[in-house]
Amino acid sequence: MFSQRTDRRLKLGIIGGGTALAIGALVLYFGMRNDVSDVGYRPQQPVPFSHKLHVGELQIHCQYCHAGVEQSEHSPIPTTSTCMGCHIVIKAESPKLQLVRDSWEKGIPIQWRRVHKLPDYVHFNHARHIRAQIDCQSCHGNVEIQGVIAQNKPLSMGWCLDCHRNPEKRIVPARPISGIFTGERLPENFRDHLFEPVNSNLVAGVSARVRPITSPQFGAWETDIPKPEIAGIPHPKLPGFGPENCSACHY
Amino acid sequence: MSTAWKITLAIVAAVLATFTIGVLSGKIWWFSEEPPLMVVPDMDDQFHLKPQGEARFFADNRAQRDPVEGALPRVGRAYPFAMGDVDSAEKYFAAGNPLPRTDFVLARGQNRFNTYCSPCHNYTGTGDGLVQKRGFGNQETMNLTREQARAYSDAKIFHVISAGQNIMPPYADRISETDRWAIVHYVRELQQKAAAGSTQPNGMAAAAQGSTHSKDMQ
Ligand code: HEC
Ligand code: HEC
Ligand code: HEC
Ligand code: HEC
Ligand code: HEC
Ligand code: HEC
Repeated sequence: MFSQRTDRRLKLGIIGGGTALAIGALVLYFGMRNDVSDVGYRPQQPVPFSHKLHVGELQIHCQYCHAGVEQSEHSPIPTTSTCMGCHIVIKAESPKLQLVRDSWEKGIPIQWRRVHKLPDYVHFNHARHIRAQIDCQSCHGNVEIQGVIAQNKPLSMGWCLDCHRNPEKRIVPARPISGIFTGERLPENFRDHLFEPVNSNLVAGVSARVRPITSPQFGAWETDIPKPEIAGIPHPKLPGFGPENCSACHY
Repeated sequence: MSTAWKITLAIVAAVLATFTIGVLSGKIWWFSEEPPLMVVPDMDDQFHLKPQGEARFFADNRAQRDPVEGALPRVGRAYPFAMGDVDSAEKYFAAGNPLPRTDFVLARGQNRFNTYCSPCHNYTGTGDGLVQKRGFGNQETMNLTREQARAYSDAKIFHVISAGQNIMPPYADRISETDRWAIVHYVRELQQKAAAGSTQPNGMAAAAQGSTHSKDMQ
């Protein structure tokens, strides 16, 4: 029907086009996954604030600035007055802090660029995880060595569920530097181990201590919640399995 | 095509394939300042305000509004006394620390003290924290275990945490009232430990006069 040349061209065209389509589909499918598209997002912040300096070197605990993660869903970005508590004296003239001083004088908040963001149809609760003594590192990576903060974990649904199903493998137990309350005194020599988990076998043996509260296919589990000893002081609990039922996160 | 060319081509193709697979499986990644590409936005950004978020509706773009005049906090209460108003605080909190001194309270006190106070006052309360060493304040007046500070009332320590003192910032907004009292218990414990430590080599009498301890500090 066709000349030999056209035939060859057509065949080449079909094979080439097919391959291009397949590659395109693969790239689109995989490229849109969070661990490809989101991990490594590291926007330039308006103030050259460094976690490496403040946490890694100065050992300021996470909750000094992100105060309130213990009680609330949201982990707050520190207010200007938190910075100025120290910077009213320290580096009071530094040009790098000009924006912080302007914000302090004029009462306009600093507009930090947001790094970690879940879609609005997912509800994530910090307090719930912090109370189960899960360290920030499990979800934010090694913040204390980052000069500019970046997203280290995909924050995808698969990632959440992966930990909810296998907490033993994924959870980094609370470290002193995060300021997470474990209900017990730190060991005497804690100063040498600020960046290591306090109770490294916190998660061992979860399956023995949780009970399913609905039929297991809905993936809702129950662990003992200790009674508060003193009103106003939260009593931390041992982590169990996280929920897998859709309504736990999508409501 | 020569074999050398074929081998080179094969190697290049293999490297490219590994790279592509590495990238697509999320094993190879690099930092980027660009926000993640959003091909299908789904309902990722819905029309509601988020804590500390942005709201174009208001002139200053802040979603979080300041409370109106006279608003009361839902949890806890605003601290009523101004910085330096120690007398009123001591009168008001004359009953002292309302929390029992249990292991649990001390554990909480340690946790909160390490979080909020240790950068300046150090983990032992001796005032030579890492931030102090970078030139914040004067270690002498920041030493919570010196003789003079040991004599402070619970109410005064509570007041300093809540309202600040000179360059020390107030913490009433970040530490709940219960936690502040837990910190007071823990500061007391640190002071007792320091007192015991400084008396052991020299006997009780020297510590009572405060001589050994204040010399250590100079
Ligand atoms: C001295 C105050 C301070 C301390 C201490 C601190 N942070 Fe931050 N953190 C900030 C500020 C300011 C920002 C916003 C600027 C930025 O993103 O770099 C921030 C941003 C972040 C973000 C990114 C928020 C986003 O937009 O998604 C994470 C995650 C975070 N901090 C975790 C931590 C962890 C974990 C620790 C403890 C290891 C910690 N921070 C300690 C001040 C602090
Ligand atoms: C607990 C005390 C403390 C707090 C709170 C704090 N900083 Fe710092 N900051 C320091 C110290 C100490 C240094 C290091 C000074 C030095 O290098 O000697 C520093 C250094 C810096 C620098 C580098 C300044 C320069 O010129 O090199 C920046 C920028 C900075 N901080 C931003 C911030 C911001 C923004 C916040 C609020 C989120 C903040 N800091 C909160 C103690 C603090
Ligand atoms: C179980 C996982 C997990 C743990 C543990 C965790 N975070 Fe997060 N964090 C997240 C997720 C997910 C988000 C994004 C939340 C959103 O977009 O609604 C986030 C967001 C943040 C933000 C940015 C909030 C904003 O709205 O800009 C900060 C700051 C933060 N986390 C700090 C911390 C600190 C400090 C700790 C430890 C005390 C911590 N996180 C522990 C998962 C976690
Ligand atoms: C590092 C492990 C880990 C990661 C990552 C993690 N979780 Fe969890 N989550 C847990 C554990 C463990 C629990 C159970 C806590 C308990 O036992 O109280 C839990 C509990 C929860 C609950 C509470 C359910 C209830 O019954 O109230 C919600 C909601 C939740 N997780 C949502 C999320 C979402 C959304 C993400 C992803 C953005 C996420 N989690 C990521 C470990 C994790
Ligand atoms: C542990 C919390 C959690 C549970 C449980 C959960 N999801 Fe999700 N889901 C997420 C998160 C986080 C995302 C956002 C992922 C992202 O950023 O792409 C998500 C996204 C989705 C999406 C949108 C995916 C996309 O890329 O557009 C759908 C659909 C969805 N979930 C359905 C479900 C269903 C159905 C269930 C019950 C079987 C369920 N989810 C249970 C956390 C959860
Ligand atoms: C940003 C550094 C900083 C932090 C954090 C800090 N302080 Fe202070 N504190 C100071 C300075 C500086 C002084 C000395 C003030 C003065 O010169 O009057 C002081 C003084 C004090 C005093 C009075 C000492 C005296 O003899 O007059 C007490 C009590 C005290 N701090 C307790 C605390 C407690 C408890 C915390 C934790 C909640 C804390 N401070 C956190 C810097 C700090």
